[in-house]
Amino acid sequence: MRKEVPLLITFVVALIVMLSQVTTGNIPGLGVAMPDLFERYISPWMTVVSAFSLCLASVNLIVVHSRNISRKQSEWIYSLILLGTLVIYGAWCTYIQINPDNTAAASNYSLIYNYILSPLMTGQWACLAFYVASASYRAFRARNLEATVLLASAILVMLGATPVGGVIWSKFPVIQRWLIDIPNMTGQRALLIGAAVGSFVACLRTMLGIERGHLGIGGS
Amino acid sequence: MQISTNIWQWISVICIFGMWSLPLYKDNPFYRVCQNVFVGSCAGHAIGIAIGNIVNYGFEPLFTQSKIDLLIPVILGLMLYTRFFPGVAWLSRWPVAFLVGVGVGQTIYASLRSQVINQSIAAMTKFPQPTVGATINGLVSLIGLLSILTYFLFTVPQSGVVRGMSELGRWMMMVTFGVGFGNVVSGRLSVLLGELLKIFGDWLGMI
Repeated sequence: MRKEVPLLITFVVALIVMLSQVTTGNIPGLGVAMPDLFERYISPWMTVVSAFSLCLASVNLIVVHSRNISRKQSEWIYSLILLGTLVIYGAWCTYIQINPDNTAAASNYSLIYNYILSPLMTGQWACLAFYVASASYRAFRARNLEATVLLASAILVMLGATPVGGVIWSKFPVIQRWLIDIPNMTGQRALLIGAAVGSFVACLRTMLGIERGHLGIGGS
Repeated sequence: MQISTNIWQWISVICIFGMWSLPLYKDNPFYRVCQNVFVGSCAGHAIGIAIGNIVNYGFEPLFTQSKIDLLIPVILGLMLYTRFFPGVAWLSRWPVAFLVGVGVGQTIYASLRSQVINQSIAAMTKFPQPTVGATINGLVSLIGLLSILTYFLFTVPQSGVVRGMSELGRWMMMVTFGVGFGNVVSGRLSVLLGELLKIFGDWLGMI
């Protein structure tokens, strides 16, 4: 019961989802087609269950930080700030999701989204530019021929992508385009095929119950 | 220069400087506040969307349109929380099994169809091409693809032709990684420039 039912659920649901993409006719005896079964039941159910799972992650976050605050652990003030922000954004966003007709609440929410959350997000992303600069220094020390190839292609792409590259030599953008379209595309394609074969095998193992790590049951 | 008097612009720029204070200075309370506000607001936003989905796609059709079948995902969703009660924690495996089942079913088809089959079709080039350049490009694509796939061939001893192909594959991958790295650097820098534009343009009014 504890092991078999989850394995059976995974197998049946995966089979329905997989067959819904390759079959069109009705299932014998049921009078309903697999794509309909997916559209009518699995897809909306998935939306609801995944929403519950997202809330579970937030519950974990709340539990951890509430514990920090109640025990007055070091830097508990930051946990308080995190929880306070979470409550404000969570309550406000929930309200406008449930009451889409209230345009005033929605436009006020867009203010705290556009002027607080969005700059924090882009600020964090831009931070990575500083770290990429130091990572570049380490990566670009051409210690062997292969590292030199990596270095050369990266520099050519960067030069081609910036206006200054075109000013230095008009062929830099052309070389950049060629590098992206031909060798890069080839490499991406080969890596995609390799990864797809790997993910197919992993999914098949999970579907057949050979791989059970996601259920916390352990391997085969 | 005309500094903005819009309070929201000021808040926005404070947030940006807060985030930048880590790489430009060092770990400091200003950055920690911004970091925790960022995590809290992201999580809060996600919770809001999730609860909205539960209400709009779960409870509302269940109660207003009497879609009784929606009781199943609601119960499955609630079962996720049984992991907080050790005696019945095993029940939380059921919704996880459902979510994994959907993911697995979609990936099995998508990985074969859109990645293996479609990418293989795209790699097939007709020779000779109308121009010499196009023919060379086609050859580079074909030989490059085969050589990289050979690199990941572990069931055949890496010697002779296979070894040569495998080495060529490694070179091709180096070019790919180099291009990827160059693109990442360019992308990050363009985000940084966007932020600088916001600071010098919208806030300071210098641009």
